[in-house]
Amino acid sequence: MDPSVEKECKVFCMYLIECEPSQREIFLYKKALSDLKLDLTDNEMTIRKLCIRFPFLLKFADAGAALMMRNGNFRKRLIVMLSIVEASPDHCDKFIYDEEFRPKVHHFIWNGISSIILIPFGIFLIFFIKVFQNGK
Amino acid sequence: MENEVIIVGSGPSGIMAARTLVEAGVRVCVIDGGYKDDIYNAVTPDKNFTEIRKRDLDQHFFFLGNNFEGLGQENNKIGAQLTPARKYIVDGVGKYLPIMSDSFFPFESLAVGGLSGGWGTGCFCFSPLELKLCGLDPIKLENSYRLISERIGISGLSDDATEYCSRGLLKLQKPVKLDSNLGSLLNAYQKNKIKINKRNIFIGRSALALLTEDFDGRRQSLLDEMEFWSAHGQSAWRAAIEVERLKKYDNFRHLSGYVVKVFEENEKGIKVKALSVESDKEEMFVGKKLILAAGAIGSARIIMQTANKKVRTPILSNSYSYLPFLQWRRLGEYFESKKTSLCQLIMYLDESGKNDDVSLASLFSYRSLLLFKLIKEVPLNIRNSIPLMRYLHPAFTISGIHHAERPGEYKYLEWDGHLKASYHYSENEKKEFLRKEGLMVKAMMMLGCTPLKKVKTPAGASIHYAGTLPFSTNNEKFHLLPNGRLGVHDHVYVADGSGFHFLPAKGITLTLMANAHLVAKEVLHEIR
Repeated sequence: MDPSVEKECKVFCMYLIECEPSQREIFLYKKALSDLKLDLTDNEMTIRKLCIRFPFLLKFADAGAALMMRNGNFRKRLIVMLSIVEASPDHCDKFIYDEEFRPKVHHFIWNGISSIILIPFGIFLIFFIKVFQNGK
Repeated sequence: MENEVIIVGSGPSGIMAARTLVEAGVRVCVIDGGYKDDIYNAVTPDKNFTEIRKRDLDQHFFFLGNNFEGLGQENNKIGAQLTPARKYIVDGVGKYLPIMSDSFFPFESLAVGGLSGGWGTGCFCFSPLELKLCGLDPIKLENSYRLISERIGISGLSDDATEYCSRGLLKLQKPVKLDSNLGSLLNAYQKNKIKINKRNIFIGRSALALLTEDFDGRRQSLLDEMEFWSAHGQSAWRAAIEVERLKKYDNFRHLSGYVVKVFEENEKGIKVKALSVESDKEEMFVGKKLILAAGAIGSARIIMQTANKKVRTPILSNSYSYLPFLQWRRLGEYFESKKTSLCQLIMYLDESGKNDDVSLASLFSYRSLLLFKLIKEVPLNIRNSIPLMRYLHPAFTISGIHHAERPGEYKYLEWDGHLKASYHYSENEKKEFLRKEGLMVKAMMMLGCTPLKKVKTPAGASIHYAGTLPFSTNNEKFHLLPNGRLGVHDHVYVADGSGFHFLPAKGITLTLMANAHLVAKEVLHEIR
């Protein structure tokens, strides 16, 4: 498998939960991509390369993909990474809502607002890449 | 052992028919495809969901699947409850039970226990009017319902919903503890009952085939929220439990790993031709009587394949949508660690007031199917969606909406060497569904819930099927006589929902079992 898959896994994991993936999580991610055959289109490959090179772009790509490439494999790869970190005791504290979790309303509101702010930038990024690819 | 009765299918219908006959001393052979979970139940810990999440390093194996099968193929919006541990239920179906259609996407099963491995355990006694519409005898079914409930163990409560689910059932175990999310909704309903009831809407506790007391060697539910993932303790009734139980009888035989293709009948009895899954060779089994209980689609397929001529029969399958709601008063509240994942409340819309054309919404809290399944549906970036969904999910109430179903011109199965299906609702039906859903949504809004995005599933996704061999007193081909005997045959019966003329929105499983018991009694009477 392409060695940049490990790099992709690290970038995705850092993006999603601000944490480096463990060796086990990297292994699971590679296995998942192989089992599920999540091959990328040319557009998605370009987005992926950009995000690996410039990880700060991933939040925009993610926002854009949520609307414009909902069923695409780029987004599915992010979901795969998400599911792996969620199904891990090391990170369950970021997902579980139990008696120990103390939600902060301002945190919730900030995440909501951030999500919405990212949308136009994400759409622009995806649109730009599509135009760029078509021009090629 | 020489077979007196061969039963095709070890799902709820087949196994209840088997039990009735076996307990009466009849020599019974049940044939099924033999698929089962050899992997996941054994490795899934017998622990509470939250505890597993916090401690188990291998949880990805059973939550996501060894080959990540828990993540794939969800574009068609069905099968969210088909966790890796349940995927065996549909193994082999694509190969052995092909069906061609671009409008109908059913679930069938070759598994031990059939589709009951994924049953939500909701129990419903159809009303007398509904039973008559189906072509069933209300008085016989009433007694049969009681018998079945005593066999499998049902928990429930007498309240506004009793008339729609557990009426007539006498020996109910105490109800499953209601979780805080649905408890809050029920409180709101009780405060607004008069207004809501005026709209012909009633909300109450579901009756579940889930034990709250130890029973018959099975353990009461520990409220571990693992019902979608494992079967520890056998608290939820599954037909596979009954298969194991019947193996203790000398006059019971379980032939696993066969797909029945066709049958022959003569004056002495029947022969069944089945394909071995293991050897890919056909084998013949002989008996005096045959009971087909392969599901409405499966039984019809066998009969059509046997007749081997072009034929078209009707089919019924409930329309199914799911609609999440946000219950605002629940924001900032957390979930207790001990709860069930199964449906605990049901909303019934009964406009006529006669309990004959009821639509219903099964109401669930959401936690144990993991957040990623929610997050992927949200049109926002995933990173910010994690804390958003984490905060919101105790306030989610997921409703699964079913409507009653009647035959239609474009709802049919067809055989011409292959099984084909068509399923299209008329424009009037679609309008009615929307109208009724609108009424239910309004009622939920009165209870402080805001609807989110509705997901309409394709025809067949409800996993409720009936009506492929409609009851008829005329003793005609591709119909069943009222006692379940296949028309123009002497030794062949059908014990599943194939005969029903009407399919209520209520879950069909309890009625299938009750009817199967009655068909078995008919066969017993014939034999003896």
